[in-house]
Amino acid sequence: MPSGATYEPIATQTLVSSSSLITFSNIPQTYTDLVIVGTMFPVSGGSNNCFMRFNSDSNTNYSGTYYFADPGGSPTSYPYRNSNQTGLGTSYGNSQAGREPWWHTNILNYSNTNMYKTVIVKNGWADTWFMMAGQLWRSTSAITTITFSPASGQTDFAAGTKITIYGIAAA
Amino acid sequence: MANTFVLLASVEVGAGKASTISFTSIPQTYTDLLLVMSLRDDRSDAPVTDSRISFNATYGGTSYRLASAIGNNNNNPLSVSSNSGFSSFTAYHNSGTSTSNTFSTNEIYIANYTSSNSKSLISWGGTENNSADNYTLLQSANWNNSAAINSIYITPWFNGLSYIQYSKASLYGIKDS
Repeated sequence: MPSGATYEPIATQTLVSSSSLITFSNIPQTYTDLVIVGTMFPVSGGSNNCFMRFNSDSNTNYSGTYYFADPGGSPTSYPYRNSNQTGLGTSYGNSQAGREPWWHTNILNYSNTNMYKTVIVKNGWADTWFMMAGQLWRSTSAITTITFSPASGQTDFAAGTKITIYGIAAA
Repeated sequence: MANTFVLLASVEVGAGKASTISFTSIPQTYTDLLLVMSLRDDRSDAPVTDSRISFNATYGGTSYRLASAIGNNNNNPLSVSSNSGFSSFTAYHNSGTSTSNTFSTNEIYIANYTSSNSKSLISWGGTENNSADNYTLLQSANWNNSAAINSIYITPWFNGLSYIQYSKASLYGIKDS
């Protein structure tokens, strides 16, 4: 069994001022999978949602299947899914200190032009809420650009928001 | 800094399909294992099928203990079940009537795989395909066996099924130091 390369950082962006768009472009095509880790803050509180999009595609080519755990909700856990979305949804939650949201995503086979792209997401904030999701981008294009932007009516990403992309190299 | 996250092996199924995906001779020099899979089989009458995943032999016996939460579309509540003597642990993957070009997303974290205690793992994944014909599974499992894990076998639930071309499984080794 061969021993291959490892988990390599490709790029990091840390906002020094608020922004409505975070872009990673020219993603190298030399890895097998991508891992994205983010700590994203909204300018103001509330339940803020954003979209991750690939190759600037904002058409209805995205969908997702979710598990939610919401200790304060009713019910406290439930499945949810949506079709034909304009991006892959995730939460960047609440600006309340001590409840900053975290977000971890695996993008599988991102450069494979024979497969639609599948994504595994884990997302939550402190004692408030978390979710896991399987998401889909219905495109066989290799992913070269990834953008993050607030959904309609949501506040911008605040200074301190940080997103890092890692590449998992093939053996 | 030490290289603590290493791709040990990756299997991509070719045009000839594969009834089993296996990882053998797994090195015993890591702390944990991470198995990441994108799978689809050739079942012609369903959008989703279970994979059986087992250690050191193809599935069989009663040494796997499972606690599972299963989601299907927007149907509440989650289906929750347990089994104290099963023949493998499981993961959902896409089958033939699922949307074209869609493959499953599965992530399985296996802790302390060389331990002489029983082995614990968590399996998460689903078959998102932009339709209601999808399932998700969150499963906590335990392999009640003192042997170190030196091989992993992945097979579709039903005999005669095969994983189709581009199905892929990757095994990573993770060190704690």
